[in-house]
Order: sequence, then C-alpha cells, then structure tokens
Amino acid sequence: MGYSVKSIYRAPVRSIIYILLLSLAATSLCVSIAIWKYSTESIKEVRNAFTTIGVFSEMNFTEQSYVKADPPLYDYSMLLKVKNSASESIYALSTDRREFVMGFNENISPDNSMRNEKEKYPYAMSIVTGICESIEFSKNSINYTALIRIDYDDLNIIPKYITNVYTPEIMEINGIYITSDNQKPFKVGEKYIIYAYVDGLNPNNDYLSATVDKWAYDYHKYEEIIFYDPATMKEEFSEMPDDKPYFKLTDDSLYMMQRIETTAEDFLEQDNGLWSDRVEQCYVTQHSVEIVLTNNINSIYMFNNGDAYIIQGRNITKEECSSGANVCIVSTQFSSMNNIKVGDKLKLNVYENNFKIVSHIISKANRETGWQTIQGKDTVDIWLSKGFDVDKGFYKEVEYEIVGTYLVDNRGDKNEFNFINNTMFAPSESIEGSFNTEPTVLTLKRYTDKLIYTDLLRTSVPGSFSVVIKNGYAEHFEADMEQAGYGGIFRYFDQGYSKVSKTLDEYSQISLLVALISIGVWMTVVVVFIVTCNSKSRKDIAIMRSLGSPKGRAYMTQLFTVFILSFMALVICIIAGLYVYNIVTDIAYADMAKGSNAASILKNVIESSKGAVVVAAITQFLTIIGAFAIVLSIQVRQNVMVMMRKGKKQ
Amino acid sequence: MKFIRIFLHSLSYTFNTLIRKIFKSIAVVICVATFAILICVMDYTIQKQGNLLLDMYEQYKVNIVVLDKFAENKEDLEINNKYASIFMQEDSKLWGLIDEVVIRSNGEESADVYLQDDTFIDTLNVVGITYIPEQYEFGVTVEMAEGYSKDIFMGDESVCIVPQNVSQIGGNVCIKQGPDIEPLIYKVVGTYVPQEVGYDEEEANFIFCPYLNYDQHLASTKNNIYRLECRIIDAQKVTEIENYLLKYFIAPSMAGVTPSGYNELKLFYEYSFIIPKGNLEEVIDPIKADIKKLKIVEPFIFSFSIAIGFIISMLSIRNRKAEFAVMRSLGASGFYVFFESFMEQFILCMVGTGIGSIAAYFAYGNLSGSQINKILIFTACYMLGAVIEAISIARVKVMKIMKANE
Repeated sequence: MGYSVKSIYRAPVRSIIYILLLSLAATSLCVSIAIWKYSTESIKEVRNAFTTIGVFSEMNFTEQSYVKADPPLYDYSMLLKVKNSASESIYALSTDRREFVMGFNENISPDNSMRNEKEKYPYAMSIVTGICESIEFSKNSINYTALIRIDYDDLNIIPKYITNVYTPEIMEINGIYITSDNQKPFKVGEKYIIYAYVDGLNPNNDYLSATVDKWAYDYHKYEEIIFYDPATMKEEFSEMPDDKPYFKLTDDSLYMMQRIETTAEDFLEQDNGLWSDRVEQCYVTQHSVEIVLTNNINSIYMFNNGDAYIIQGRNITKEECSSGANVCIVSTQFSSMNNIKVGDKLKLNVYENNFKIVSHIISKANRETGWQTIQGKDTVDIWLSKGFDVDKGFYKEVEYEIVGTYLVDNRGDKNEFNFINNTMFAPSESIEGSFNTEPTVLTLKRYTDKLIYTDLLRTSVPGSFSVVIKNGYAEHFEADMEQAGYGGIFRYFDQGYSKVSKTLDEYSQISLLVALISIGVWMTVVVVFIVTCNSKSRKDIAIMRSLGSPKGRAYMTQLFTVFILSFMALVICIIAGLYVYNIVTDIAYADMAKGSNAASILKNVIESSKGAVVVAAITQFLTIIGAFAIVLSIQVRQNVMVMMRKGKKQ
Repeated sequence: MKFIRIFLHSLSYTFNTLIRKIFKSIAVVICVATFAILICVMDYTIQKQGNLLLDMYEQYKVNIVVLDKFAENKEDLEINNKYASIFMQEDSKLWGLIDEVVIRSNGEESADVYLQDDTFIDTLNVVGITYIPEQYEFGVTVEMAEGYSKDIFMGDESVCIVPQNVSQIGGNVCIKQGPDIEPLIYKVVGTYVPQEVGYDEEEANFIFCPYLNYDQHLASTKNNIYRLECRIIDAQKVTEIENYLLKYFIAPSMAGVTPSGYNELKLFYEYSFIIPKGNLEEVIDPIKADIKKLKIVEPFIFSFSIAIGFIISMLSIRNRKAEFAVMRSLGASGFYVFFESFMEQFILCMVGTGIGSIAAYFAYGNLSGSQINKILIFTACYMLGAVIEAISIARVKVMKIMKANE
C-alpha cells in the first residue's frame, strides 16, 4: 500500500491528470445517466397524466319503461358478468364503481340552472300553505287546475332558486285525482297544506306553477276510475259531460293536499306523522347536494373527455382518491348559489337516497349525440334521486374541503353519463360504507289489450361503472372482452393518448440514445486510461518480479495504485455530479414551478433521479477496478523477460 | 528541399509510430470519434426533442370560453358587440392564434322575410352567427351551397341560411325589421329542413346570417352576443393569450370579487374567461423541463468533453517523453520533436473527428451548423492540449529526461 501511495506521490502531474481524466469522464457519465433517468421517470408521469377508460350504456341491458320502447340489446343478467369480466382483464388497471349519496346542510340550496322539468326533481317537491281561490276541471281531459293564494305567514318550503327571485301570490296547481269520497280535491275558500312539485314561475301570469298527483308516488297502483254519475256527482261537478271520467286514489295517504283549519305548525303537531315526514323530506332535500363517490375522477366520462372541466382551483388527485381525503369539487353554479369558494369547508349530513326511474323524451337536438345508444330512440329512462328518506335518516356527518369548481359543457339532456349542476364529487374512501345496495323498482308500461304495469328490480345504477385501462391497450382490452363474449359493448376514451403515444415513445428512445452514447464515451476514456496505465504497470511489474517480488504482491501494488486514483476520481465525480445535477434541476424546475400543475410530480421525479448520480458513480468505479484487475491478472502471469522486453520497447 | 525532406521524414516516422502502437492509436481514435458523436447526438437530441414537443402541442386543441363573471354560464351573456373585435379583427393580437370562433346572438329578434317582389313569406328569428348552425344547438341540419363554407360567416356579407320552405339555395330574400325600414337583400347560401318536433319543443324558425352583418344591420342592441368561444390553434401560445385576455376579461371568481373599472375596450369588467387545458400542463411541462435540463446540461457535457480531449492528448504525448529525449540526443531539433508529437495527435484527432462526423452525418442525414462548430471547438481544444504538451516536451532539457528515465 505504501508503495502505491509513493508511486502516486512521485509522479504528481501524471496522477492528477489521471484523476482529472477519470473524474471528468465519470461526472459526464453520471450526469447523463441521471438526466436519462429523469427523462424516463418524467415520461412515465406524462403517460400517467392520461386515463383511458371503457364505459358502456346500461340502457342497452335494461328494458325501458316507455310503452313503445325497443327491447334491450342484451339481457339484464349479463350486466354483472360484463362488469366482472372487465375488472378481471389483465389490461384493466382498476374499475370505478361509483356510489351516489346526498348531503344535507341547512345553509345550502340547489342551483337553479336545471334544464328541464325532470331535472328539478326532487328539489322541486315543496310544502305550500294557502287558501283555494278557484278550481276548474277540464272538460276534455282528466286534469283540473286550482289557484291557491299562498299564505307566506305560514309554513312554506319552496325552492330557494324560486323564492330568491319571486314571491308570487298565487300558485296554480295542476292535478288529476278527486277525493276518495268523490269530491273536488280543493274547496274554494278553504285553507290547505299542499305537497306539490313546484316547477317555477309561469311567465304568462306570474303564478307559481305546480303539479300534484305525478311525482311523489306510484299512483297507478292505487288509481280507480270513476264515471260521472248524475245522481251523485252533479252537485260537485256540474257542467261536465256525462261520460267524463274522474280518477281517485284508493289510499288516502297518497293525496298531496290536506285541508287545515289552524296553522300548518299546529296541524303538524297533531298529525300522525305523514305530513311531518313530508315536511322534513322537503326541507332536507331542498338543502341537499348530490354526492358522487368515486375513486378516480378521470374515470367519469364527462371529465375524461373534457366536457366537464375545472374552472377554479384544481381537481381531486389520485392520491386523495386513494387515501380518502375529505376533499370535493362542486359546480360553479352550486358554489355561486351558496356563496362557497375554493378552500371553504362544507359540513354535510350524509344520507343514502333511493332512485326514481322516469321516462324522458329526448329533445331532437340531443338524439344524434355522439356514441351513446340513445341514437334513434326518442325516449330514455333517467334515474333521479328521490331525496331524503325519513325512515332511513342520516348516515353520518362529514366535512369536506372544496378544492375546485367545475363547469359542464354541452351537457344535453340528462342521461346516465352526465349529471346535474347540484352534484358534488368526492373520493369513495372519504365515507365508509356500502351504498346503493337496495334494488330500484323499474315499472314497465306495456300495452296488450290494456295498459299493463310490470315492476322489475334493478340492482345497478346506470353510469356508475367504468373500467380504467392501461394506456395504449384499449384494443387489447376489447379483444379480451370479445374472447369472453362481450365484444362491442364498451366504448373507449383515452384523452388523446393514442395521438401522443408515438411521440412519447420517440422521446424515450432519444433520451436513451444520449445515455448510451455517454456510456460509450466513458468506456473509451476508461480504455485509454487502462491502456496507458497498463503500459506503465507492465514495466513496474517486470522490475518487481525480476527483483524477486511475488506475483501477488506485484499485482496488489499496481491494483491498489489504480484503486486510489479511481477512488479519488469517484469522490470528485459524486460531488461534481450532484452539484451539476442540482444546478440543472434547480434552474429547470424553478422556471416551471410557477403555477404549473405538474410541479409537485416533477419534484418527486427530481429527487428519485438524484440517486442515479451516486449509483452510476459507484458502478463506474467498480467497473474500472474490475477491468483493470482482469488486465493486471493477465499481465502478472506473463514471463518476466517478455515483460522486460516489452517495457524496454516502450 | 531540406525542409520538404524533414517534413516527409517526420510524416513517415509519425505513421510508423502510429502503426507500431496500433491498439493505442485505435483507442485514441475511437475515443475522439465517440466524443464527436456525443457532441452531435446531444445537439440532435435537443433539436429532435424540441420538434417532438411541437408535435405534442399540435395534438392539443384548447378552447377559450367566455363566461359571466361568476363563471356560471357561457350562454345568454348579453356581451357588448365591441368584444367581437378582439376575436375577429385582423389587427387584434389574437388574429392568427385562434380559429373556430363561435359568436352568436340570442335569436330573440324577429324579422319579416319577403321575396324580392315584396311577397311576404314568414316571420323568422334572426340569429347572427360566425359558424354554420348545428343540430345540437338549433335542431337544424344545414345544407350549404357549393363553394360556401363556414368562413363566410366570419365576414359581413349579406348572406343567410333559411328554412327550405322560405327559399332555395342561390335565391335572394329581403329582410324587413319594421314597416318604415328599408328592406335588406340577402343571398341564400344554405337551407335547412325544419324538423318535426315533440310536444314540448318549439319548431326551429330561424334565419342565420353572419354576425358582423347582423350586428351592423339587424341587431336591436349593442349587447347582442349570446355566446362567445373560440379555439386556440397553437397550444404553445396559451399563456400569452391568457395574459392578453386579462386586459378585457377577468379570471373566474366567486361572490363578486372582480376588478373594478374599465377594461381596454372602455367597458366595465363584466365577463370572465376560462381556457380548459385538460391535462396539457401535466403532459407538456415535464417535457419542457426535460428539454430545458438537456439544454442546461449540454454545455457541461461539452466542457467535460473538451477537457477530456485535452487531457488525452497530453497523456498520449507525455508517455513518450523518453522517446523524444532519445531523438533530441541524436540531433533532432526541438521544433522537429514538437512537430513530430503535434502531427501524431493531429492525425489521430482528424481521423477520430472525421469518423465521428461521418457516422453522425449518416445517422442523422445532415450536420447542422452548431454541430459542426462544436466539433471544431472540440478539435481545437484537443489540439491545444497536444500543443501545450508538445511545447513542454520540446523545451525540456534532454539530460534531465534521460536521467529521469534511468
């Protein structure tokens, strides 16, 4: 060892040149390797920025309630098998089985930008107290119209999006059923508490427009038809044609109006619970927001294809989804309606809601939209939340932080893939429990010789399932599904990944090229170094052997010399390499950190790539030592005289 | 003559030396060649990655959407017509950076439509528009005349699209907005068939004309823009466009937090805008950072390459000190020794850079100016190392070298 140190000390210039040569080559190599590692990791993160999903329309598996609906393409029993097959595919990264609940907070209200009558349900279900001013039955239909003067001093639960703007004095009610004792449902001059679907303001007469006998219950099960009986009905329904039918209900609890003689509050105190429940149901629902629990926001069709996008703040991250963070995003309409901004916290009493399946006529404008199989149909069933169920009550209280607001573009009519503005998205893991486990009743209407109602049970909520597929493997996934017998069911959306994947592949290859060339350069420098050292060491070994030194000692002496030189180069390389890497990443990161969404991702990539500098440095050190050891071992075995002759030649 | 003889002799000696130490010569040549290739590859990589980044940008189509100040609605905005100039005028900064401009009026104004012989046809709702109306928005499927595309709606020509039962393509219609108002003649460049509608829908009953023409002749109010959007052609310009739009619009905000005062159109700040970028930042920013890193690291690598070349040339000469001392002792001049050692390194360097350059040329099809410059700089630094060491050897005393050798 002493000899090695002395030999280095005796030729300082040469030693410094060797150390410089090795350290420069190694630094260049280590920095190139670290940059390549960074490129690889950042390309991986770029690929992860895309989400490829497969979705399908559950409408293809289920009968539609509309009387003239086409039969479904597939049997409903196949639905679960399709989902299971999708989740078992090797190309599926995960599945998102979304759950739908609602959250109550007395300080919030749904927004008012619903597109049509059906989308206002259940928020339009209201309690109104007032005195009947008139009631008129139509001669040509089964309906009646009643005018109620609203008593604003008594109990009224009317949607805030109406009362914020209007305080109409009159409510115009459209209804169907007469009372069970064959009388008009409203008597002029009498006071009523009414459970009505309040649609909005009628612009023609500034009346509040409302409906009873339509939304609240499955009336068809309790209907009874009554024909005009001159002897019995004339007093109530004079001036009506003889053959005009009337409808009434066989269950009194389904009627949506109740005559009261006191205030609504006094009436409720004496009520058997029916009206108290209705009041509570209306109040809670009108201060509720629909919550979609998801484990990947980009697996939702509208977010994936850019129809829904963040306006302020940010979206929920994958990490927050997997950790069940109490964060959420709301629509801009909801946040504006309730004066909530990004960063605010919202406490919600969460409850599980049932669904009401309603047949919806699709507007002409929406019949040719995109890929969904509503094309060619004119009606489709939509699933609407029923709002608060008094019997089920609240589940638990959760506080969410609002991290972003979203806007929906080109929403079209409500269907299984879009959502109303009163929808909030939160991670599935933020609320423990299983929801939507109870089946929903779908009532089919079909004509044979008469209208037949058939109840079917539906166990899956449409729009609740999507499969997240490995980027670039949608075709392979479809092949898997075809093999399982479920081909052509899924549609795929990849946020444009297929357009950029080729570019990303080229990018990776080019990054690799730099690393390979750097390795090539380092290798040639090391070869030059070894060749140079080898010629010197040959001479030294020859002299040592000729003076009687054993092979092993000569070998170790020379090897140790190179070891010291390489080790010093290693230390310089690590220091210089990390220094250069830090400078480079600090400058590049600082420029990008200003407000970029990718900043936090890249910080992790930078940190993980830093280790590559040290690993590469140690690896090249060991490689040099190993290579020189092999060359030396060959050299040491040579004949002394041959070595002396070669050394002299040099 | 003497000089030529010396020159030729030194050349032959150089080649003999190089051939005698063939492995060492090859090692140096390969080393120099790989450095030349590394320099070319680094330069090429930066260029290529820049091009790939541009390709990535092209895949992204980003829209500008104008909203109300609370970012609730993008329709029914009643925007002043001056805002159209930001998106439609040639002298606007956005000109050339955007396309697919979507500006339309609310379609609530009606006009009586006549034939040119003053025969009344129908009363239609007038819609000023910058695009061909679509099924999802108006419930119409338009058939355009040959030779006419959506671009005509970006101008101010008196053309229109009407229901087929009003007029045929190529015909003219007159629009009157009141009894005492002079009728305006419009050429029919497209028609649509009014669709059958459901019980709760209104029949499409519109006459569509270019927005600028509508604004000039038919609009009843200046606040006539119902909806305003466009698409950014080059996603690279998103930040630049955002900064420009902030002169006229506000970033979406809640609960009335808005800049007060007038914008550059001398109108109150009333509207916000959003540029939904999707995953643009997550995709583009890492690549931009990577390219920037490469650009920053490239001078370091280049400097290392130069230094290594310098050292290798020095080492190559330094190891042959004894040989040169013998030459000096046999009568060779200092200049001859310098020339000899310099020529060796020169030939090795030229062969190495030549091989590297040719390899890079065939690999990439051409060598750019910057690549050639960098190779020349590398060559110069390599030769500088050789020159310095050659001079030092030429100047050192022979006896000192001979004694050190012993």
